[in-house]
Amino acid sequence: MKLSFTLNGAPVAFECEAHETLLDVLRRNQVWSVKHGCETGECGVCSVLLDGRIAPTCVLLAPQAEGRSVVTVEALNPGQALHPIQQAFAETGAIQCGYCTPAMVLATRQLLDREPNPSEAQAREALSAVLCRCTGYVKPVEAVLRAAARLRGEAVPPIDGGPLTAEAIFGPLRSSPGPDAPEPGGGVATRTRVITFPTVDTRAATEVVGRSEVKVDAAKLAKGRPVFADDFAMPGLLHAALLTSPHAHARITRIDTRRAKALPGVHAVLTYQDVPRVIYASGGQTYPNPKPWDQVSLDATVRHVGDRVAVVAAETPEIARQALALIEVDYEVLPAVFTPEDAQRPGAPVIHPEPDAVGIRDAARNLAIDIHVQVGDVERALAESDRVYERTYRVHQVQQAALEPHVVVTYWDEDDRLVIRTSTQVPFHVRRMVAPLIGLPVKRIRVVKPRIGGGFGGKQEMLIEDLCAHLTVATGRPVRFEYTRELEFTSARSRHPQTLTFRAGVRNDGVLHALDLHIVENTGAYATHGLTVCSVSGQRGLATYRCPNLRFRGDIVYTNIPTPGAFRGYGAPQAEFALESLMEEIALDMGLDPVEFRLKNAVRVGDPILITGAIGEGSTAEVEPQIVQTCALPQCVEQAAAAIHWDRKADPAWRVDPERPHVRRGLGMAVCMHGTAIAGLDMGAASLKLNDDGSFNLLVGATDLGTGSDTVLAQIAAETLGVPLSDVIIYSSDTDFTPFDTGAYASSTTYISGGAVKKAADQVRAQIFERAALMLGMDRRDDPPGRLEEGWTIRDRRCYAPDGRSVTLEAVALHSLHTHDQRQIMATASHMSPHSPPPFAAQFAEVEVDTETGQVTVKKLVMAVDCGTAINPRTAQGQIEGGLVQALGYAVSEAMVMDEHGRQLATRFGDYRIFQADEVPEIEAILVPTYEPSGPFGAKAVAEIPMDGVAPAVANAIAHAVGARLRELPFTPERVWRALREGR
Amino acid sequence: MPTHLRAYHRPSNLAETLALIQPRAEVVAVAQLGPRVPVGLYPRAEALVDLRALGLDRLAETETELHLGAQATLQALIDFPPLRALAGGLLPRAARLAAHPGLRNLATLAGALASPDGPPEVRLALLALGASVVVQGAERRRVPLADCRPAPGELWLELIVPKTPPPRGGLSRVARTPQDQAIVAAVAAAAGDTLRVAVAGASPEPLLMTVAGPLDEARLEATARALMAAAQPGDDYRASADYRRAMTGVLARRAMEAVR
Repeated sequence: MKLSFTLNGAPVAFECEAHETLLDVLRRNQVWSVKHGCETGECGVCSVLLDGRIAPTCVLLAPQAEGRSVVTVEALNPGQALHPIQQAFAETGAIQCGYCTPAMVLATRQLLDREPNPSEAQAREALSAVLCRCTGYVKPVEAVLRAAARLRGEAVPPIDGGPLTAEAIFGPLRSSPGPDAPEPGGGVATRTRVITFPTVDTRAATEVVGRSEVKVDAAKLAKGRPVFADDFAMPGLLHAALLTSPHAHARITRIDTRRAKALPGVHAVLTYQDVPRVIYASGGQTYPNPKPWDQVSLDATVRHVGDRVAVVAAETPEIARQALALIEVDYEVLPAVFTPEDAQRPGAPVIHPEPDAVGIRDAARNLAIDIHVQVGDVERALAESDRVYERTYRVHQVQQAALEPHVVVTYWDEDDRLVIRTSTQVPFHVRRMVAPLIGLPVKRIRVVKPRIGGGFGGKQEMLIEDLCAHLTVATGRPVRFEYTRELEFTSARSRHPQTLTFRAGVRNDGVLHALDLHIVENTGAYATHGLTVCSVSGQRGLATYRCPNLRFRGDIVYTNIPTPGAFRGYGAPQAEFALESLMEEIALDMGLDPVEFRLKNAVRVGDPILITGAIGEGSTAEVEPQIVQTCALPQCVEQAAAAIHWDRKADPAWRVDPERPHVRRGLGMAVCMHGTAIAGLDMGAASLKLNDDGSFNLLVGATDLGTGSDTVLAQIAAETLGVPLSDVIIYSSDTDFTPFDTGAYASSTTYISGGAVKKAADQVRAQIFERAALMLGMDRRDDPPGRLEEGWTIRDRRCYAPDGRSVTLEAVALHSLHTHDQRQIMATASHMSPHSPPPFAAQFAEVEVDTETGQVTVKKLVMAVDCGTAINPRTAQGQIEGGLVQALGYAVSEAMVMDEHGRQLATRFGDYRIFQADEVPEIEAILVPTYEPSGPFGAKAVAEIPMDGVAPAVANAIAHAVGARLRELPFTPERVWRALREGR
Repeated sequence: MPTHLRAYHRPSNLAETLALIQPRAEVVAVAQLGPRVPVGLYPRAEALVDLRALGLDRLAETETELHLGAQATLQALIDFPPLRALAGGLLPRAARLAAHPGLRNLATLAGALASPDGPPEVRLALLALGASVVVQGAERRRVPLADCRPAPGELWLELIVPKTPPPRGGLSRVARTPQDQAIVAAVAAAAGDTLRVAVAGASPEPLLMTVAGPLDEARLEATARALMAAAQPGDDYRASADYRRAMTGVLARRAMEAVR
C-alpha cells in the first residue's frame, strides 16, 4: 500500500505492507537515526516526534502514520552545524554509545518546545521516554538544562576550563548540597554534582590529557549518522532468522526443512546436518581460548530454552520468520537441571556427554572445570583465629541489556573475501574464532567493527557471526542477522549466578588472619567465560584485604539455563557483594566500626596482591607478582563519606520519618578494588602516521563500545605529540586496516591500548624531530637514541629546535613525503603490561525501607574512585555514573527469571526492569586521582569498578535501616519483607 | 510486527466501523494500544481498523461529569486540566504510572482498559471514581465500568467520570522501582459518604469494594480485612500469593487513609 506523510517537513510517499511498522519503513528508506532496540515500545530508541510528540515507532504500524508529521533527528541539522540540543549533549558528555541519543535529543526538543525553562524533574520525565544503559542519565539531564539555557539566550558555563583545576571547573570543593536542599528549577544546575579533586601526585601539567575534551565521535552520534552495524544498505541483502529450542534439554530426533526451503523467497535453511561440526568456545578471549571447548555452530542436542536449532536466510524478515514456522522438528525431551546442586546430584542428566568436547573436567558430574588455589595454610590459620565466621551469599542471573541488540551483516567482497560487519567488542578474536567454523583461512575474512550501541561484555562473544557467515557461504548473498529483544534474553549472554561461601578467621584485634572462599558457579549450557569469570571472582574476593592465608575453590557447573558470559565487572560484582557484606557482618559482630575495620585490613601501597599470581585468569602465561603501587582508598572513603553526610548514620532521629512511620532510613558502604587489564595477556597495538597538513591518523584495534576510549586514545596521542586533539583522526577498528588489539574488556583499553598509542606517538615524535633537524641543517641521525629529543618541543603545530628555530608540522610532513629522502613518518607500537594496577573506590548508599511492604528506595549513591589519572574526567565520570545505575539494577530490580521448564519469563523491557531517567537516585561521582607509574600518563581503569559496590552498600544500608541482613540478590520487596518478618 | 495482518481499514464513521468489527472468519482488531504492548503488536489480527477519523479522543467537561473519549491518549488525560483538579489528580497520576511519555502518546484509554496484564492504576482509578462506559453495540448504552467487559462487535466510545460530590483520592502501590509496574496497587476515592477501594495484583480481576458511612478506624480496618479475605492471588515471578494477600491489606489501608 502507498503511505504518505510529512517527514522532517517534506511530503514523502513510501510503499509499505499493512503489517510493517513505521520503524521498518523509516529504516528501509535509510532514515538511519531511528534505531531498533525492542519490539514493545518500552526502550524508546526508535522514537520520533509524531505530530510534535515523542512516540516509539516499533509499535506504530506504518499505515497509522498516514497524513501525519514525522520528525527525526535528521531535521535538526540540515547543514554541518549541531543544533543547540545536540551541542549540549556533545559538550556535557551525555553521549556514550550514542544509540539512544537521537531519541533523547527529540525528547528534549519536545520538552523545550513546550517548556523553555524546565526543572530537573521535567527534564527527567522527558528523558524517561528513552532508556539509556550507558550514562545513568546524569549527563543527559545536564544536557537538557544546558540546551534550555542556551536556547533562552543565556550564557552557559564552560564545560572544561583547562587542565585539572577542580575549583575552576566545578566550584568550591566539598560543595555537595545537603540532604535537605531543595530541588533546583531552571538554570543549568542539577541535583547531581560531580567533583574532581586535585591530583594526589602532582606531575607536569598536561595540555590535552586530564581535560574533559568533547568526545571525538559525539557530533556524528548526535546527528544520528549511519555509524552502527545495521545502518547499512546493500543490494541483494537477505535477512536471517533463528529457530530456537522450546525445551531446556532435548535431542533432535527428526528435523525436516523441506517446507521451509520451498517457501518463495527462502534462500537457505541450515541445521546441524548442513554445517561442519567444529568444536569451539564462544567467549571472545585470547588464543588459545580457555577450555572447555563445548560448542558447535548447530548441534543435534539443545541444552537450554533458546538454544540454536536452525537458521534461515530469506528475502525479507517476514519471509524468514514464516520459514521458521515451517521447519518440522521432533525432539526427544531430556531431563533438565537448572541449579548446580541439581546438576551434581547422582543420576542428574549429563549435559555434555559428547565425546568431541575438549577439556571438560568431569562431564559425568556436569563439572565444566574447577579451581583450587591456596596461599599460606588456611585451615591452620582458621584454627589459630579468635573468631571464625562462615556466611553464604547468593547472586543471580542478569542481562547486559545493551540497547543495540546483537547485529551482524556478512557479505563477499569483490575479492571473494568474507566481510563481517558486526557490533562486537572483540573484532580480532571474532576473525580468528569464526575462521575454522566456516572453513575459511583468517586471511579471507575481514571483520569491520562500526560504532557499538553498548556492549557491557555481552559483545565479548562470537555469538552470531558464525551463523550469519554460514548463511552467506551457503547463499553467496549478503545476509543481515539481528537479534530481537526476546532473543537477547533467551539466546545471548548474561551474568553468572553464583553461590559464594566465605569462611573468615579474625583475631580479636580486628586483623584478618584467614579467608576461604568457595564459589559454585552456574555456567549454564556452555562454559564460554565460565572459568575466567570464576577466576576473577576469586581474585576480587580475596585481594582487597591484607590476609596471609587465602584459599579459593571454584566449581563451574553446567546446567540448562541460558549461558552466562562476560558482563561488566566479570565476576567482581558477585564476589564483592559477598565480601563487603561479610566485612560488615564481622565488624558489627565484633563491635568494630565497619569503616575502620575495612581500612585497617585493606591493602595499601607496597602490598603484594598474593592471590592474583596464584589464580591467574585463564592464562598459561606466568604472571609477575602484583604489587600495589598506587592507592587512594582512604581518601576515597573520606570524600565519599563527606558527600553522603555519613555522620547521619549515628543520628537516631534521622532514621525515622514522623510523616511516614513505616519508613526507616539507612546508610551503608562498601570498598571496592578491581583490576586493570589482564597482566601478561592483554595486548593492544596502534599505528600513527603524519599527513601532508601536519595532522595524524591514529589507527587502533581497540574497540570503543561507547566508553569514550577513542577519545581517550586520541588524547594520549595528542598529548604525546604536542598537538591539539582535533589534529588526531582516530579510526577503530577493522581487521584489515588497524593493528591487533585483544578488544574492549577487562578494563584494559586506556591502560593497554593507551600504552601502545603512547609508544607509537613517542616514536612518531622522534621521527618528526629527526626530520626537522634535517630541514634545519642539523642532521643528527647518527646521534644515540634519545639524544635528539633533548630540548626539542612541539607546540602550536610547530616543531621547535633547542636553539629556538622552528618548522611547521605541515612543512615537516611535506618535506618528508615529497621533497627529500622521502619516507612516511609513522610508527606502529604494541603494548602489554606485566602489571594489573588496581583501581580503588569507596561506595556509599542511602536508602529508605518501607517496613510494611519491604520496598527499598535508594535515595542516593556516592562513589569516590581512584582510577589513577583520568585522561578525560568527563568520560571517566560517565563511566561511574552509568555503572552505578546498572549496579543498582543488579541490586534491586533486574533479574532473569524462568519457570519450572526453563522458559524465561522476563523477555522484554519492563518485565526485565532497568531504571529510567525519572526514577534514578541522586548520584555523585568523585574522582580521587593518583599517578600510576605503569599506566599512560598515570592512568588506571575506571570502566568496571562502578559495578562492584552498590549491592553490598545497599545491603549494608538496609541492615542499618531495619536490621535485616539480605544475603541474596536482588532486594525485591518480598525478599526484604520476608527478612523483616523472619527477624533476620 | 503483526505476522498475519493483511488489511488496514480507515472507516470514516461509526456505522462503517461497527460493520467492520463484527465477528467473522477474519480476525479483526481495533488499532489501539495499551501501555503494555504485546509482543507481535496485534498478534492474531488479520485486519486492523483505524479509529482516528471518528473523533473518539474528545475530552469534555459538564457541570457534573467528565467525558473522556475512549481513544484519548494517556498523555492527553494528564494534560486535561479538569482531570488534574479531580480527586487530587488521581487519574493523571495513574496515567503517569502506566508508561513512559512516548508510549503515553500512543496508548489510549480504551487500550489501557483492554490490557489485562498491563499497569493497573488507570483502571483502578476509574473504578474508584465510579466511572461508567458508553458502549456502542447494536444500540448505545451506558454501563458501570465495574460491570463492563469488552465484547466482540462492540466499541467503547467514552468513559464518564462523575464530578459531584467532589471526590478525594488516594493511591498506594509497591513495585521494584518507582515507575515499575505495580506488584500490588490500591486506589481509593471518597465522594460524599461513599468510599470505593479498588485493588489490583491480588486477584485475576481487580477487587472493588464500596462502603458507606463515616471513615473511622474500624471501618478502614474492616474494609482492609474484607479485601484481604476476598483476594485470590496467584504466584508469579514478581511476588508470591502470600505477599500479594498481605499487601492487599497494607496498601488498601494506606489508600483509604489518604482520603480520610
